Amino acid sequence: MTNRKKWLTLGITVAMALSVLSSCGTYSDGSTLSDSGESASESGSSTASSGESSEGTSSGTGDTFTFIATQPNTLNMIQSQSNLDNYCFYLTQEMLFRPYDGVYTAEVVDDWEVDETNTVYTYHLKETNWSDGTPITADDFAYYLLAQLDPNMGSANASTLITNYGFLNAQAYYNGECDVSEVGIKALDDYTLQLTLEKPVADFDGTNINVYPLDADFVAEQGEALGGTPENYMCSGPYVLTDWTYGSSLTYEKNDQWLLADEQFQVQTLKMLEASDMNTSVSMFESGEVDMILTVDNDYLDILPEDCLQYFPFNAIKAVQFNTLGQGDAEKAALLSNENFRYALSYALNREAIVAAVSPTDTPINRYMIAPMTGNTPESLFEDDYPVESVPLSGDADQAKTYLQAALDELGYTSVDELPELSYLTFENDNYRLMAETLVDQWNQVLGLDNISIELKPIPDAIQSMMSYQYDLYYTSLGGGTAPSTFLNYWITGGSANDVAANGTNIFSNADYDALVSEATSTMDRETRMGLYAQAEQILIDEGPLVMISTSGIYSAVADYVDGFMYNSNDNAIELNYLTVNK
Amino acid sequence: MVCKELIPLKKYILQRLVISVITLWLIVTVCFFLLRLLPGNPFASTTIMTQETLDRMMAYYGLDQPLWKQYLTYMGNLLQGNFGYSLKYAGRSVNYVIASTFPVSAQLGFQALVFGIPVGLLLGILAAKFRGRAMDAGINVFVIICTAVPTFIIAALLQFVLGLKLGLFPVAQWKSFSYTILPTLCLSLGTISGYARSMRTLMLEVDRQDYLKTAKAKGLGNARIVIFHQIRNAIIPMITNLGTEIAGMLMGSYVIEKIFSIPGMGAYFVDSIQGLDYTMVMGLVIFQAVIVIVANFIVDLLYGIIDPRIRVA
Repeated sequence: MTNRKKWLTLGITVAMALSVLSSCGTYSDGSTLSDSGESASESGSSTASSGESSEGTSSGTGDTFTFIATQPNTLNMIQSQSNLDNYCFYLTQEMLFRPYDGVYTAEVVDDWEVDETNTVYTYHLKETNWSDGTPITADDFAYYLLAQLDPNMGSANASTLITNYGFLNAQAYYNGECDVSEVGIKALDDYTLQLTLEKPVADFDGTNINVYPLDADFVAEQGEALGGTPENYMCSGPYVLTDWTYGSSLTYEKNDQWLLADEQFQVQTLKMLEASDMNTSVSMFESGEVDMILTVDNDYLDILPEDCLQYFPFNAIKAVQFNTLGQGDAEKAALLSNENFRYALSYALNREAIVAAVSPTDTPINRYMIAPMTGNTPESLFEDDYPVESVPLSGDADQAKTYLQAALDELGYTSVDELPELSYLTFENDNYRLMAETLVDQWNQVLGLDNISIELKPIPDAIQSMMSYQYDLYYTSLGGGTAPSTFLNYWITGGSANDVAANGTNIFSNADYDALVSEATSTMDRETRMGLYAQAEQILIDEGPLVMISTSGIYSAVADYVDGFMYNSNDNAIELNYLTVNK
Repeated sequence: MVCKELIPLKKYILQRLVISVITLWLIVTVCFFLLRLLPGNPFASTTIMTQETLDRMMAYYGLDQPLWKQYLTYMGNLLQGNFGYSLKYAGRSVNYVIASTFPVSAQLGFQALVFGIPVGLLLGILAAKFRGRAMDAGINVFVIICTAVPTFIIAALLQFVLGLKLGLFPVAQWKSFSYTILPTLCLSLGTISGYARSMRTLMLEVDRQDYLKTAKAKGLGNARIVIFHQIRNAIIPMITNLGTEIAGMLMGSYVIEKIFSIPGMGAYFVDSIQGLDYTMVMGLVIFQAVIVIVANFIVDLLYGIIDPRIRVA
């Protein structure tokens, strides 16, 4: 009996303790989750009073900008693979050249020159500091690039750096075949950085590269914890990250140590909230809890006032990709490689109707193998200057049937009923499923094809299937940079989307195309270069394993008292440089 | 008639402890190998990654090693209390994620239980006492609504009415007690309906027992009969599921946490499984397993004390 009483007393005590603990609270602004406020003050950064958490439902004064966006995956600048991470880097790091609305302007670079071979770029840097007041040197900028090429640092970005810029011996260093001292990325002294390319890269103008500083000692000190919390992350840019509550919020405070602190990024505090449920996001926007939603889902475009919506195009294309290898099945391979069959599927699609019905934030495209934000000048668009021929936006059902008949004749079929079964692989996700159903339905309605079934898989599974060529049709989304080559390189022989297994298995191979792209990337004259790109694009449209669907974009909801909000996917940044909140 | 011997309490505790440890080891082992059997890899994303890069990433994280070697390494780290770092979110240690998100989920779950259980029991008692009357019907309708309508719809409705239109509570986030009220309410609805239904049934069952007739015959007051005889006896069977239920509630709710932007564990469970973040999935599963095992261990122990027949060898 005594034992029972003891246990009961213990049980009651535990319950009471839990109750007390519960009442203490675990609130994200209550510092239980993060004590990063300490690190901000330690770093000597500016932490104005407006940085204190706002209770209730007000987003605060004009000193604070509260917005909803998806959180970064990591602030490990070496292992980062996501645009979401880059949004944070842009706000918290110095840059050699800072892009704004597609134009790169010198920030830390005081002066720079390129030699007569167009391969050696020398940058003279200004004196500037980390947010804790210690100086940033050329070594820090060099290390940012070198660490991504280091095969022992777990970076997935090396191939992009090698392909797009071709730094001297970068590939050899990544393969472990040479020493870091032989790579064409060097700090000549504390304030001189030199980049040496293996050959001239026409699309690299010396400024259009995102380079941040990264302290090698800090990286070594942090080890695997690098970039996991504000304490494991060094800031040098317009803002200092003072708090990061996973799944909830990030708080940035203005950094007065930043070079251009008096000229740009005048808002004192940025609060980035995570609200993955769009209904919640819209409710918070309508109640005035937030000043901006970065991405508004299609379903909510009609609910929000039209004048608060701003459209920003993405530098990406969406297309149906054909596995011309047919998964080892000769009959399938012949069908999927047949140009007329591909044309039939392309002409059967009314892209305007599809995009309007399925994905209103997208723009239908009929021609671009390179995104429409690419290759433009401030005066004119690439698509106008270098036109190519392709299908009409609304499709052409009669032409589609003609192409299908031609395909059937070439392949020896008497009717579509004899065609082999094809699977359309896509992500197990509402938007992707809806797109798949719409496309397959149009092919069925227009061409009478009922041999295409939809295969939905979770993203990692679908990617693995794609990478092992286990699909017939695959809905792909490809992003690129400001240069057309970033898109066209995907499809050269051995290109990353073409020979995705990197074992010589290409789904498209065309010597003329390869030669054109190669010639273009080393042609310094812009007009000639762009002309070559357009020729290569025409080959890809005519013969490539793709049916283009759309180019994507996002709608942001921005409160009417917010001015100067800018998002540019080319720059990979939420650009708040000239933002004002007049609340 | 053979009279079986009672196991001494200490031995009983030791037995349960050994069983708990074996259970945990089995969970860790099965989970480890099952995860590796799933198609895909943790580094797959919608952006193109070359096979060369993928191979290097796999090698960097030791995922190119034989499975048995990976298992031994993992178990070695686990014995030191190290769950490792997320493969998807570089820099985030699983230990840190658990330490920062579990208190949030636990608070939310605890509040929902503290609110939901008494309300559920009260509704069950009222429904039983007023069986067949308007009160009973009203409670039944409420219970059916709570059970049938998905949480995300109720949550959206509460956000719209109480948050946006009436401005009584914040719509989302987790900044102070007022921010916890709507999610607590939503999360507790399931508990309320479950307990109300069970309590009503148990109260009606108890109502037919002889000891209740005796109490009535003794001339005890109605309130005394209900409180000291009917409720007390009806409530005992409900303790059985309490351990598992508490464990489940403390681990967070994916839907509620997503809708109300609560930085809890629930979202990590789903996201890490979808993204094949091996270390994160393992860490969370092991942590949940420990919570469930401990809860069941305590319940078993309490039963062993309250009802010694359970300890019969």
